[in-house]
Amino acid sequence: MLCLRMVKQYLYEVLLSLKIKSFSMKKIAQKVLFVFVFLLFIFNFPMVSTANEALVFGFVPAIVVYIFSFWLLAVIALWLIFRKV
Amino acid sequence: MNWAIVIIVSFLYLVLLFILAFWAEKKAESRSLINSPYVYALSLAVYCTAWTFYGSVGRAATSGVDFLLIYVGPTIAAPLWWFILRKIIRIAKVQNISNIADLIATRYGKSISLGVLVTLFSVLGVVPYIALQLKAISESFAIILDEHTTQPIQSASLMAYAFYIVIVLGIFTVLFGTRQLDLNRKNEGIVFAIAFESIFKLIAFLVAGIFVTFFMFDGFSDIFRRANEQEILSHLLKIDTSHLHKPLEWFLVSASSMFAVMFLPRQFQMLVAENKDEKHLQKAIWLFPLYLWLINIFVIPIALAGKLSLNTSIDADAYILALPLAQKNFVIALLVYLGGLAAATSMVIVSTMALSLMLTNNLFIPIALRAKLTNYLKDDSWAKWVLYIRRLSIILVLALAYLYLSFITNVSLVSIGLVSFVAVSQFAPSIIGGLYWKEATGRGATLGILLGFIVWGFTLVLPVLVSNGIFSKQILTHGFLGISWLKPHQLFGLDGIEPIAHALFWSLSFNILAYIGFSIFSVQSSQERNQAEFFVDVLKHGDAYENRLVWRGTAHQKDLENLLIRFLDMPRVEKLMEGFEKRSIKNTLNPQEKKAALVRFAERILANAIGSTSARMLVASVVQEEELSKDEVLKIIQESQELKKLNLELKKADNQKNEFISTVTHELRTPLTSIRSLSEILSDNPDLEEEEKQHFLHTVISETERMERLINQVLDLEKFESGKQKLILNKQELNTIILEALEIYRIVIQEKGFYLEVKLFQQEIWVKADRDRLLQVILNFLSNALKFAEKNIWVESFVESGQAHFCVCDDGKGVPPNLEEAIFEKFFQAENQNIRKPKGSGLGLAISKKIIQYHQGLIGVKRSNHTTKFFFTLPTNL
Repeated sequence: MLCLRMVKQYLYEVLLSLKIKSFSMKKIAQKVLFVFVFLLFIFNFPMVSTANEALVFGFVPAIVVYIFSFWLLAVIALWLIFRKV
Repeated sequence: MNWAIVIIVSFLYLVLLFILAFWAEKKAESRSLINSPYVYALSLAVYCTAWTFYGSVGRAATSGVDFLLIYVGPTIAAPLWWFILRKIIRIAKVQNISNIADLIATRYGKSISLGVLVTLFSVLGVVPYIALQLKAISESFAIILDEHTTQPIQSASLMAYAFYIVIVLGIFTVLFGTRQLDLNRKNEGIVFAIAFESIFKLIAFLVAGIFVTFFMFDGFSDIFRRANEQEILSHLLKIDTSHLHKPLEWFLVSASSMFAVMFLPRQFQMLVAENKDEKHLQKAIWLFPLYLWLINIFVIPIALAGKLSLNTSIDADAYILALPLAQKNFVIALLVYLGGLAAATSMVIVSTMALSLMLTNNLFIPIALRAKLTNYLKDDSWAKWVLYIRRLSIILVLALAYLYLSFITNVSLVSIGLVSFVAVSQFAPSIIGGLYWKEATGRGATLGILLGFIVWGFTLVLPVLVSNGIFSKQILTHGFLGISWLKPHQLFGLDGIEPIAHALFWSLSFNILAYIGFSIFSVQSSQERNQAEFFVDVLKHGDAYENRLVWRGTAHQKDLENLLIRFLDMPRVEKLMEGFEKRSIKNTLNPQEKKAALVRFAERILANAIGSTSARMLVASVVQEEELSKDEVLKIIQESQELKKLNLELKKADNQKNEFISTVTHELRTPLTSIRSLSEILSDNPDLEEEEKQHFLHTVISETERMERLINQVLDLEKFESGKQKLILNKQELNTIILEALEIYRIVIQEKGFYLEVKLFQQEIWVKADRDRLLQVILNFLSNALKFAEKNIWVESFVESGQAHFCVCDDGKGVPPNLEEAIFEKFFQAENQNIRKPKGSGLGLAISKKIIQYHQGLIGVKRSNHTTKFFFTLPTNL
């Protein structure tokens, strides 16, 4: 119950902080939250285990390519979100 | 390499650091160099210590890609900074919070004991980490001199080298970290120097990486191919998933780095205390992960290259330095050595500064105040005394780190770094909980942190002491006091999980359970409740902090002024008090509210010098505070919130009134000017042609009618708004009224060449309405459609779910979605001329809305498929 209330308060604040600003700020917060959830999903098991195979890209192990690619993708996504704020 | 060269280059590097810091301080008098999002983002890279520089390679050489979790964790957490850190930065700015102990103590009612606890645990958790940086500097020094790399750290020459480094860094931190008493002013010199070090260490690492990857080998593929060929190295190219708890370990280690990047004292110092502008966070959110990406891109290739080409007796932590040395490339080796020095010194400087502030504000000053040692101080020596304590604290922290260094034996950089991560993770529940859960109490936070640290000590520190021979090894094998479920690495029988994840799991579990449990079963003090409200709602009404006055007692202005004079000069205190008086008059505070505001004001000013909790203690020594019950606190908060809400509504109403008057007078002035000019022409020129006279008179009449219309509309609206308007409600047939309105506009529609389509789906629609008023609304809709339609107008009426629907659609430009409500406000178009050119009074839709509301109906506008639809509904139950 407590966790649920904290999450509710957190989400309420996220939305509130955006409501006072503008429509676009709300969108930014939604995008930022999405990136966080996406990264949490991508950089944890079982997702990382999908790249933990013998497969290689020009001898570079798949897991290394996987981690560094999504890492860079996260940077680009965050840059795109915040460049016009 | 010749030791003299290494010593001279190291010395020159440190001199450069001093020059840069001095320059930044000097420059700050005219323009702040650190007021840039790029400098801010670079200063956050203090996260990358000697551990990153040497330890990551070491860990990659022993356990593969696992080391990346320390950097992937902060990348995952970066988006959350937008919410969590923005909130903390705002709180810190309003309440003058300068360190993590102050933040936690302030949230839980400015609790002195909690501040002391957090400070002590921070010192315990971070001092070994500082010691390890000194160890890294000494070891890199030994390697570059081509000494025996497996030599124990306690060798006299290495300890002497570490000693000199400690002295130089101590002088640097004292010089630039204690320049001013005011904690609100940023440490320009230190921040700029740290940003420079971040660039320097990144360049050094990249140069080393490029050298190893492309000059020693033929690129990434070559290194990975050769590693793949050796069975002994192939395990480094995959995550070892052979044991059951790997996913949990992976998650826990990345979670601890997510917490560490925000709550390590040095990170908090740079992220929050040294933040110049909240907006800088927006760039740091993506720049900092990019920095981490860049500095890690060559870690695995260097680790594999070391394994492939260096002697197995060389410590893997030293590969980055040993590889160029093995190739006799002394320039790159020297650059790498300096990069490592930059990484270690930046961490030592910022951590020492952050810990010294915590020790001063949350431990030494409260102890001195409680023991009444300050009674011996003269009024004008307080400021100097605080600065002396800060300087002594810096020396103390460095001395403790040096002492620790002289005792430790073979502990790797990564392992001790992770021990620190687990330590600071214990603050996360109290901080995050405190930001989002108003009922969390100081008792819950204290017991949570205490239990978390006990478990941390038992599961991570005790084994280190055992390995150093201080305690018996039996504790590890048979458990504490021989109890088998009290084994530090298999607590409560949890086996098969690596020590860091194991410690984090149990310490955070105990911490969170105690925090929540004791918060539920304990009661908040009035101060705690007040702070909880502020922390949780800071984004809603953080600006109104001074107006939320949950305080009752006796306070004398003179006593508080005398307190302030101890830290500030007389003219400044007078100026501050003058400003306070003005604000009190403006906010119309009653005497009790003014006292409360004064106490808070004094606390805030003092917090600039000695931190929030010490400031509260000092103020408490000259005022008499009455304890408020929970109900009283809640009542005051509720009243202040209601008052704030009412004030906001009043302000809004006042603004609307002013806007209304301004628009009405503007609208009246235009025809009035025209009437006056034409009347003057007629009066001054009696010989005007009759035709011209008639034309002028016709315009005067038409402008008078326009004025009359406007005045009638204003009066109409006023009647509706004041509730004086009476409607004559009768049974009316809606379609008849619609057809009547269409007949009025028939000729205009034909003249303008519009295509009109009328769809009346039911033959008769009966509603209870005021016929003339309803006709007014329909005419208003049609008139708007005629003004804005391109070619087509559609009129529809039908009954659905007991409601009569009427709508007028047109193919004009329409209304943006965010203005669909605002368009029904008074004079909307007059102040939004960029959206539509005004063609009427701007009151038509506002009056229509009131009429429909009086009929218990709904009115609105929608845009879909390039069509704008104005509609209203009316109940059909007669």
